[in-house]
Amino acid sequence: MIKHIIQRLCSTLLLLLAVSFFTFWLMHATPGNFFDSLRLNPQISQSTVERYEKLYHLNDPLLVQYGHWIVNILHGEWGYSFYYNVPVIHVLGSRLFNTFILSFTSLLLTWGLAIPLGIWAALRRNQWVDRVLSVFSFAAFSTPGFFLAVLVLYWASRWGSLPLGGMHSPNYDDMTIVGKIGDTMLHLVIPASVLSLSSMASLQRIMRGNMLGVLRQQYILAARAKGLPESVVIYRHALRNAFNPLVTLLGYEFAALLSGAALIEIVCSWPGLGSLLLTAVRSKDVYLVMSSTLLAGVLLVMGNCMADILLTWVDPRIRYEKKQ
Amino acid sequence: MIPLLSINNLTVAVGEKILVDRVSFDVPKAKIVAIAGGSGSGKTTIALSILRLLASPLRMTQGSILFEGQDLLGLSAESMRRCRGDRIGMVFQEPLSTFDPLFTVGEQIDEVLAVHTKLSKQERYKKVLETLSEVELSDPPRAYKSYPHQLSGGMRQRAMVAQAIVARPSLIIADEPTSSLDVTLQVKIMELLARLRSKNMSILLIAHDLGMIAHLADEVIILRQGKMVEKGPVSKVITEPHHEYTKALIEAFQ
Amino acid sequence: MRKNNSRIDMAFGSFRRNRMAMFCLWSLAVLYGMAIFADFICPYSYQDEDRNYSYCPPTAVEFRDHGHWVSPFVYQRDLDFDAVHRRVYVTDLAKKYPLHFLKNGRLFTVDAPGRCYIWGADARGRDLFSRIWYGARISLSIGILGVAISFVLGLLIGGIAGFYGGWVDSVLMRLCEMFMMIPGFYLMLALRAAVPENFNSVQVYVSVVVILALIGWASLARIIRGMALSLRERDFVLAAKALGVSDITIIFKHILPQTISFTCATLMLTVSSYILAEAGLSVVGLGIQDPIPSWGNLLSDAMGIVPVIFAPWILLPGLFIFIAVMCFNVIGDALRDAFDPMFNEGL
Repeated sequence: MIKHIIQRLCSTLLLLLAVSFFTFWLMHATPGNFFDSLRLNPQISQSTVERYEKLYHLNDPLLVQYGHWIVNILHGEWGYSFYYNVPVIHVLGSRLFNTFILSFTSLLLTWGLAIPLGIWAALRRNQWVDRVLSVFSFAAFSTPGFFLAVLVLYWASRWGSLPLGGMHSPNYDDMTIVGKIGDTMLHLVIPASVLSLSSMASLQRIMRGNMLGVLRQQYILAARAKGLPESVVIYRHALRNAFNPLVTLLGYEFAALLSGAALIEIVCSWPGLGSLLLTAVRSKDVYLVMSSTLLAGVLLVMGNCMADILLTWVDPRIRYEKKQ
Repeated sequence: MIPLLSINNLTVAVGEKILVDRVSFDVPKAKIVAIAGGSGSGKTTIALSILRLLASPLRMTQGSILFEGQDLLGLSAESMRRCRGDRIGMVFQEPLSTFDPLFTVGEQIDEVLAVHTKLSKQERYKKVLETLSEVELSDPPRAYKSYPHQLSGGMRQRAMVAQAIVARPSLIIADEPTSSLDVTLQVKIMELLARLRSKNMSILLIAHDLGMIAHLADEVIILRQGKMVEKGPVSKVITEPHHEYTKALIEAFQ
Repeated sequence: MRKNNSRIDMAFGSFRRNRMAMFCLWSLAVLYGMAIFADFICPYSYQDEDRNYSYCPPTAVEFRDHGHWVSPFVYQRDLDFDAVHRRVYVTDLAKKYPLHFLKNGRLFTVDAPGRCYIWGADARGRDLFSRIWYGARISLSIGILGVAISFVLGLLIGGIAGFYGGWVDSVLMRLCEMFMMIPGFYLMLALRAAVPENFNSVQVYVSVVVILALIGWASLARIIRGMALSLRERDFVLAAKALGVSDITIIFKHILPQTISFTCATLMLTVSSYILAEAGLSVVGLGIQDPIPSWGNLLSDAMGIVPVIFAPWILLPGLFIFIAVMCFNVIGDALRDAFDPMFNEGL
């Protein structure tokens, strides 16, 4: 199993390098030297521009520049954000954390609701519960997330109890620790629930499908032939077998989550990685764009890796593959 | 002597199509009764009907099933469940797909005892190990801890037999127990099953290999497309077949 | 070959029996039809603005005048401000503008200075009804074009990878994984940042199509590669090889047709995700640019709370996105079920 993990890590490292090169090339594929427009910008001092030109060896061929960029990244020098006027790292850190909170909460909501609902729909196949959930699922993942966010915000503005965006209330700094946590959670309600809605819909359908597929299997018949109570058959045998393949989905869920979170962040003014990237793209803040994209890729890879490891742990057929 | 199992006029249909047509036979105590026939003859359907595990489009339209003097069809669902695994055990054809891949073999055999008896965990563990050695598995503790995919085909089938007999049922239904094994293993498993007779268990053997049936069974019922065409003691039926189909089957396995 | 055909026939038959899916198919036909004939259906071009009618509510079409039935007309609307300086539209019953049908090549129009806003107006007084249907052209076509490119890319790369196996497969699959490794929206934004700023609207359109195609081809390629891999060992392929048929011919004539059935379902689902992706890109102002309408950029107006509260009709484009996406999803799902042999056995 360890060998398997190391292999995966190696190949993903290579992939990360490829991704970073791709992003790098993309940024520099835009005609015109980025620094030209910078030089025209009166807010940035000439010395800063010169310093970064030197740091990134702009007159050297592309591959050399890339090499220097990678080395710099590994040394913690992620570039300079010209929009925010600080090194990229300072901006990325807090935004990353915020996106993480949003994504994680959304993940909990999604899986916490989708799995039971999927089981319920499978057990009550074609009855009204199943049909209602089916229609609801379709509607949920057909609705553009940002649109739903606007609708929910509109409704919330009428209702008046939930904050309408942002992450903290104006008086955040004066609150106690408990107050701060509560305040953040309150602000999380709308973005996290909108974000979970569409992934919950598709996950529920998948769980239902898996469950139905598993219930057709021979070992379920054999379990009943042993005289096991129906609850044991369903919740011990069927459920575990239906759930296992979903573990691989966890990795992709994470990706979809990061992706979907970006738009929701923008609409709900949640200060995360997605809204950061948007600002960066709009202002052509090259290093910020590259770093954010690279970071998003890293997060995704980590998510996939964890999902892989989780699957290996949870499925004995993979875990004990070597032992035979 | 009241037979252990008595089936009368069993008829199973799905929609308009009749799968089992007025089949009647008895299984006496400590005897092996075989049901033989080609595929699609309704053999497995009979087995599942006894356990009341027919998949929903299939329905039993008439007939009675008496087991140990009790009418199985009249039992409540809960009583029927208690009967399964405890009084009637089943051995399936393909052990790899009939064991849950995510649990060890030992855990799955243990489940039978956990549900039907009040033995403690250690007592159950002991009993499972005993049963595993009864089915001639060489290293019972190791077999207990193994996952189904880690055992060889023959070992898996023995484990399946162990699972069926661990609660000491009086009837074992064996549905093509050796079809997925190679020839040498087939013989061994069949001998294992034959020995169960001496432990006071009856076996309802479902098979299509008349050669094996001739060796082991006491009585045989020949089925063709859901209808019984011949029935009687094995020695008689094999040497003096009456029906065309029986003759054809015998020839096929010469 | 006959057996293959009957399987496809059975699948399409099963699809046709699915009433929901057929309903969605017809709905999409209507949407695309309206988009194609937008010039005819819409009373105004998408650029026709009149600042005097900013955020004008939907105009009611009147059929009765003083109790008599007359041919349809609209009243004049005038902008006014109420006591708290909020925008209000006052109907002037004195001035009537009859609806002209089939004039100037348009289904219905009114003479200037009357305006007929069936679904209301946006901030610049442009007719939302017209903009929605012109926008349909963009939103509905981008998805299809993007999928077409993704499909070709995926088919080629997936087919080649699956068929040849070995190191070709490894390299191509690593390439796929690289694309799948960056979350979709981030990849879209990054690619968009590489598009020069001085592109005109046509070039922007093409760039968006290419960008969409690039975010989705990888998963398509993987699916096709999987199918090609399993088909490679089949007898008919080995026979063709033994007969000396060239590799390309084998890929195109034998392997790919078998994959088409399952791929169709996936394609429908991909179209729906592309429509959503384009909407997402446009709503943040990075997709199709004003004044060319797309359902996404029509919604960018609606991203603030204030306009939505006072002019809720600007949310309509969202409804259309929802309808189009839902239809594609239902059709894709139905196709998938139709091709699933177990489903067809009446389970």
